[in-house]
Amino acid sequence: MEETLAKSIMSIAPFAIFVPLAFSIRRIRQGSDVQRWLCIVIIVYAIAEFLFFFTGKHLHQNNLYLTHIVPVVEFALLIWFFRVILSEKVIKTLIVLFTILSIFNVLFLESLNEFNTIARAVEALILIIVSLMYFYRLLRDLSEQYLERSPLFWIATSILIYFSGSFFIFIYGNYIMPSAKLSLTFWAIHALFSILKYILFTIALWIKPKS
Amino acid sequence: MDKAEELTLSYLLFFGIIGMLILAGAIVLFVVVYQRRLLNQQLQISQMKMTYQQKTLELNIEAQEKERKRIANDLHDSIGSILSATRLYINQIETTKKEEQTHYIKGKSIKLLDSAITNIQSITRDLLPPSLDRFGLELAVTDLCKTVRDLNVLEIAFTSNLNQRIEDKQELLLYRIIQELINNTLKHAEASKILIQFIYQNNKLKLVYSDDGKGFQPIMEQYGEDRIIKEGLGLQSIRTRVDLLNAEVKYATTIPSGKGMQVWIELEIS
Repeated sequence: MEETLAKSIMSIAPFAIFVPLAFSIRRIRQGSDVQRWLCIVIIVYAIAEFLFFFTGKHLHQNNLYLTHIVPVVEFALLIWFFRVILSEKVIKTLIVLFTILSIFNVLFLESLNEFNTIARAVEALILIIVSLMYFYRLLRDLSEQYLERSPLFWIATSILIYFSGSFFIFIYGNYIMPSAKLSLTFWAIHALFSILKYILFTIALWIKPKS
Repeated sequence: MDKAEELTLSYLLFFGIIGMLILAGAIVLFVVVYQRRLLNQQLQISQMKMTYQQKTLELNIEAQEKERKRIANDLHDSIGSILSATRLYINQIETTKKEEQTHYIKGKSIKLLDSAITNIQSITRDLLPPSLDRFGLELAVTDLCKTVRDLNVLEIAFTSNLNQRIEDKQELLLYRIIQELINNTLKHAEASKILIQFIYQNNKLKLVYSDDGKGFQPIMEQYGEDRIIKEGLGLQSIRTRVDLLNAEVKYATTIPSGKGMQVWIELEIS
């Protein structure tokens, strides 16, 4: 029973990307700058989901190498949202450092056939801290009158909840791998967070940009 | 991994995830609620400021209108009527042929015109005392005290250690404040003594004004979370001028013991 539930969540999750993807088509032309960037992010997520799905289900490959590549792109794309609170120089430095860390991780710590726990945990940690900084800035500057109408607020909420929820799963990724049951349970939970992330992204795209 | 180990790990992970999730959710909730509260507070403050400014503006306009009315009345009563009378006299010159009569009319007209000139002088002195511009604040206040003393309703004393001219703007504003304070005392306080002091020390001028009248009862008004003194036209005009001086003002009054009231105004002299 539990297993079927977990399995069905896992099989549905990749398709959740279609919801924000549908909104992206409209917003990529007539959205705010943040929304347009989100459209690009979602398109990249869709490509990543497709690659995971294709290599895993279709080619029956061990696609763990993708967990080393995707976070590098994901981190660069997501941290770029926080240009409002971080200078471009800081963001670029963070991207370069994270990329170096990921490469170092592959070469010396966790091979392409293992789950990428270190880089993913670092990625989650940095993005959690940056989104908290964004929230602090919201309270300090009171620049947004209606938070629910700010796409960036929803994006930061999505990032905070997704990475907080998944943080421990990323850290213990290699520990739970040997146990099929644990793997299934916790990756199903991760899939739930993924779905939630896409729902929050959809809300961010739903908001009509200020004219 | 054995069964027990697996179970421990799954519990650990599970509670870790739940903990992080609750924390993240609580932070988002806190941000939403607190941001709204802060915004509301800011809105309230800006609204309060606006009402205060609006009120100040209204009172200023009211004071201006009152002043205009007073000047109009002064001109009408003391100049208009005299000039009308003079005109009537001059009209008579044409109709009368007697030299004696003409001489009388001339004398009368000159007397009337003299009193018109005196009245104009007193009105302009009220509007802007010439001594203030020419001889400075101390002398102007001394003059003002003399005028009040001539009314014979109360004693008035003035002491000062300023001994120098200060900025024109500051002189005029301080003069007006003293005028308003004396006015208030004369109108409402039923006082028998007024004491005005200028105390100059370390580039700071302190104006201390006191009378022994019945004092005033400050009416407190709730302004958001603060209670502030509800100011009438007189106090309001003093407050506006004190603000323009970048000075500080303090009032002290004892009601109902009838020990009078004191006002301290302190400003920086450049």
